[in-house]
Amino acid sequence: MISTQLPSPVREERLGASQLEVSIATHAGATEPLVSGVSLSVAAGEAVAVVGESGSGKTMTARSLVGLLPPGVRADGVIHFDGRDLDAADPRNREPIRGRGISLVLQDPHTMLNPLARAGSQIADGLALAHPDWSKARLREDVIARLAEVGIRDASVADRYVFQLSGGMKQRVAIAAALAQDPDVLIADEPTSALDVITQRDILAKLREVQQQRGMGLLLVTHDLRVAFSICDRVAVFYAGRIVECGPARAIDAAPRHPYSLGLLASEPDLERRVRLSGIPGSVPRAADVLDRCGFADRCPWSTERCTAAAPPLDEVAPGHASACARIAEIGAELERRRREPAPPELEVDPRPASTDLVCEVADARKAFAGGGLLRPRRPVVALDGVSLEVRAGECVGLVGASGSGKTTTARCLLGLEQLTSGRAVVTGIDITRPRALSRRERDAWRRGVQAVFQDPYTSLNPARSIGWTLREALTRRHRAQRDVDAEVASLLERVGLPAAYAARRPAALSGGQRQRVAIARALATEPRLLICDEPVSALDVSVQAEILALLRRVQHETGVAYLFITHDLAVLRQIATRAYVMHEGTVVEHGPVEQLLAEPRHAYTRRLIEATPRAEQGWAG
Amino acid sequence: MKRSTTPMSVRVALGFLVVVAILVVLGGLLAPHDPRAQDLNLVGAPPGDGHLLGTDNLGRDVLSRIIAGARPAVVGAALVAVGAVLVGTLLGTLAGFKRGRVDAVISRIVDVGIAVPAVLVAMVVAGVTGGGYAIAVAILIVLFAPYDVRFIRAATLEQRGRGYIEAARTLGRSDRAIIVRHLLPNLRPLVLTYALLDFAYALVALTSLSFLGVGSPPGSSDWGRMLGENLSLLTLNAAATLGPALMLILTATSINLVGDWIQDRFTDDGMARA
Repeated sequence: MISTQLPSPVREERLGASQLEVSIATHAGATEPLVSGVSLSVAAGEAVAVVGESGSGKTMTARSLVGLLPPGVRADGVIHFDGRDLDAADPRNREPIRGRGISLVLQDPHTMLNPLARAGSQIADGLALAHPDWSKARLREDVIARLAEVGIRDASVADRYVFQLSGGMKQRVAIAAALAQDPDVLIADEPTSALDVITQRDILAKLREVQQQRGMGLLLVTHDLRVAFSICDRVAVFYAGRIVECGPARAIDAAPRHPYSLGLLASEPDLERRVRLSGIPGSVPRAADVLDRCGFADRCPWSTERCTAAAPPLDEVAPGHASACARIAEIGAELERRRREPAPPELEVDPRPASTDLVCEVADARKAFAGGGLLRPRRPVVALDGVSLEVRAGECVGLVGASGSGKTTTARCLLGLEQLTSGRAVVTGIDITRPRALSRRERDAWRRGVQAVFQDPYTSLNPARSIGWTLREALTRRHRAQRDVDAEVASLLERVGLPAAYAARRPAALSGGQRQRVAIARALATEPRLLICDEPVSALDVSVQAEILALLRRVQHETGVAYLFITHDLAVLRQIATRAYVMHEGTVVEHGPVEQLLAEPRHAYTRRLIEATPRAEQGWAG
Repeated sequence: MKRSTTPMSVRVALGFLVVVAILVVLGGLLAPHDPRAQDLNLVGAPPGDGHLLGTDNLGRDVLSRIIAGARPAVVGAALVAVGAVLVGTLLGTLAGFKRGRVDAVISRIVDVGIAVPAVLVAMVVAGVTGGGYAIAVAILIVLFAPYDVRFIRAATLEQRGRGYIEAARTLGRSDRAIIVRHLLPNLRPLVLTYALLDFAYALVALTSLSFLGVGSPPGSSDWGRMLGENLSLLTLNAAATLGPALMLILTATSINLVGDWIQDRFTDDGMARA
C-alpha cells in the first residue's frame, strides 16, 4: 500500500516515523503484524495525541519510536529524528538519543522509578548525564527546581523513597526524571490512567505547561478522547494497527472525517446530561486480519464493497487533516451533521414509581484494618468512618469518590467479603452486620439477593472453566431442583447480548467487553434484588463502555433490580444513576439526586471532582 | 488454545521418555544378559565381545544392568514427585486460602522443614532404620514437600484475590467448593510443573542417597548405584559409569523440556504459572 505523505506540520519536525511496520513473532515461527503503514510526526512545541482502544497499536508505535519494544516484537520503517533518518529495525541507533533527544513516561510510575533510590537521585542521574561538570550542590539545587517545575514545592520529597510517595507524586517525580536531560520530545504513554481524576487533571495541566514553556514536542498516548482533545494540538486516531484519521484536535472534535472517530466521540459519556449512548457494536479486529481492507468496515454503517476490496489510503481531506475512509467524499457531510446534532436525551428519571422498599440500608458503618507490622507501630487504618446510605428497590444509586475513599470497602462489606468493625448493614431485609450469626437460610437468601459485577473483566471469570460452567454454577445457587439448566444458560447469554454458542467457550477466547457481559449474566442468574457494580466499565474501551452501560440500563428496566453503582467517573455516573453518594476519606460528604449534585454541588470536594472530570475542551487542563 | 507446532527438542524428549517408559514396564525382559550374572573372568571389560557396553567390576553386563535399572530409578523418583506434590497442594492451598492460624501453623512447619540439613537427616534416618529403598523415597518426600507447599501457597495467595474467587464467595460457595472447583483447576499447570521438577530432582537425589548407603541395597541395578560403584572403572570401562549417568541426565532433561512445553501449551491466560 502506498500511503500519501501525511500533512506536514507547519513547524519543524523533531520526531517522526514513515511507513512504520511493527510485527510480533508467533509460536509457529511466523510473524503477525501489529501496526502497518503508520506515518506520523511531532514538531517542536507541538502536542500530538495518539488515540485508540486497546489493541489498536498505539503503544507499540510509541515504543518503536524510542526503540524499546518487548522481546519478539520488531519494527521496520524509518524513524526521523532531528533531520536524520534512522532504521527502525535497529534499536541501537536510538540509544544515543534516548533521554536527551526522546524521553519516555509510562502509565505505572512504580515500574519506572527505582525502588531502592531516593526520588531526588533519580532526577539527578539524568542531570549528571547532561551536565557532567556540575557539582553535587549544583545538582541538588537543580533537582529542587525541577521538582518545583512539576508542581512539587516541598524540597524534602527529593530525599524520600518511591514507596513513601503517593501515586500522583510518583508520576510527577517520574515526569521530572524523564525531563531531566531536557529532551526535544517527550513520549507519555497513558501517564495519568492509573491516577484518580483530580490528580490526573493536575498532572495533565503540568505536562501541557512544561511542554509549552520549553517548546518541547509531546506525544501523548491515551485511550481517553477527552484527555487528547483537552491538551493536544493534533490527534492521530488509531484503529487495528493503522491511523484512520489525523488532524487538528479542534477539527476532529467539530467534524470527524472517519466513521470510527465519530463512533468514539458518540461513545463518550456526557457529564451534562443523560443521553442515549450509542457505542460501536462489535469489537476491534486483529491488525493481521484486516491488512487488505478497511479495518472498521464490519462495524461501519456506511461500509460498501469498496471498503473491503482494498485498504483505503490515508488521504488529505483538508489542509493538515487526513482520513482513511474510502467514502469520505460521499459521507463527510453526514458525519458532520451527525456530530452536530445532539444525541437523543434519555429519560432523566426512571418511569418506575418511587418505591419506599429498602433493599440496602447502611447505618454509621465503620471499618478498620489492622495496620502496621513487624517494625512499624500497630495502628489501625480506618477505611470507613461512619458511612450511612440506603438503596430503594429498583433504584440506581451511585457511589463516587477518588481511589482510597472507601467505595470498594463499602461494597465488599455488603457482599460479605469484609466484615464491618461497627455500625449496621441490612440487605434485602437481612441484617448482615455479623455474617457468622446468620442461619443457613438467611445466608442463602442474602447471597441470592445481592450479587456483584467487578471491575476487571480479565480476572472475574474462572480462566479454567467454560462460560457455560460458570453460569450453571450460579444458576444452581437459585434452586437446587432439576430444571433445564442449558436452556437457562442460553437465555441468560441472550439477555446480555451474547450468542448461546458462547457457553462452550473459555474466557480467554472472549474480549474484555464480552467477559463483562458474562459477569453480568452470572450476577443476574440468582435473580438478585441488588446488584453491586464496582467500576464495571472503567477497565473497558469507550466504545465498549457505552454498550455495557446501555446493557445495564436495559437490564434494570426489564428486571427492576436495584444498582449500587461505584465509579470514579462523574460522566459515567450521570448516564446511569438517579441518586448518588459522594465519598471522601471514608465518609459520605454529600448525597442527593445526581442532577442536583452535579448542577449545584454543596461540598467543596464534590466541586473539585466535577472540575477535574475530563472535558473535550482546550483549557480544561491549563 | 494457542496455535503452535511442537518444537523438535520436545519431540525428541518425548521419544526418549517413551523409550524409558518401555524399559520401566518390561525391564529385564529386554536385557541381552541376566543383569545379575557375574563373569569374574571378564571384569571391567571395555565394550565389545558380546557385551555392547562392556562389563562392570564383577563382570556383569552393563547394558543389561542399565535396562534393568530403569525401573528402580524412575519408579522411586515418580513416587517422590507424586507424594511431595500431593502434600504440597493440600497444605499449600489450605494455608494460602484460609490464611490466619491455619496458615501460621503450616508455614512454620514448612520453615522448619526447609531449615533442616537434608543430608544429615538422611544419614541419621538411615542409621536408625537401617536404610532401604522405601526409606529413601519417604525421606525425599518429606524433604521436597515443604518447597512445594511454599510455591503452591504463593500461587494460591495470588489467585484468591481475583474476581472469580470473590464472585464464587458472593454466590455463597463454601471454602471447600471454591478450592476444589475453582482454585485447583487453575493451579493444575503449576502443580504439574512442580511434579515434573520434583521428579527430575528426585532422580538425582535418589542417586546421592544410594551413594550414602540409604537407597537401594548393594548389588541392585539402580542407575544411581551403578554410577557410584563403577566410578573406579572409569579408565577400564568408562561406559559402565557414563552409561547410567547419561540415562539420568537425559531423563531429567527430557522431563523438564516436556514440562515447560506442557505449561506453555495448555495454560490459558490468567491461570497460575510457574
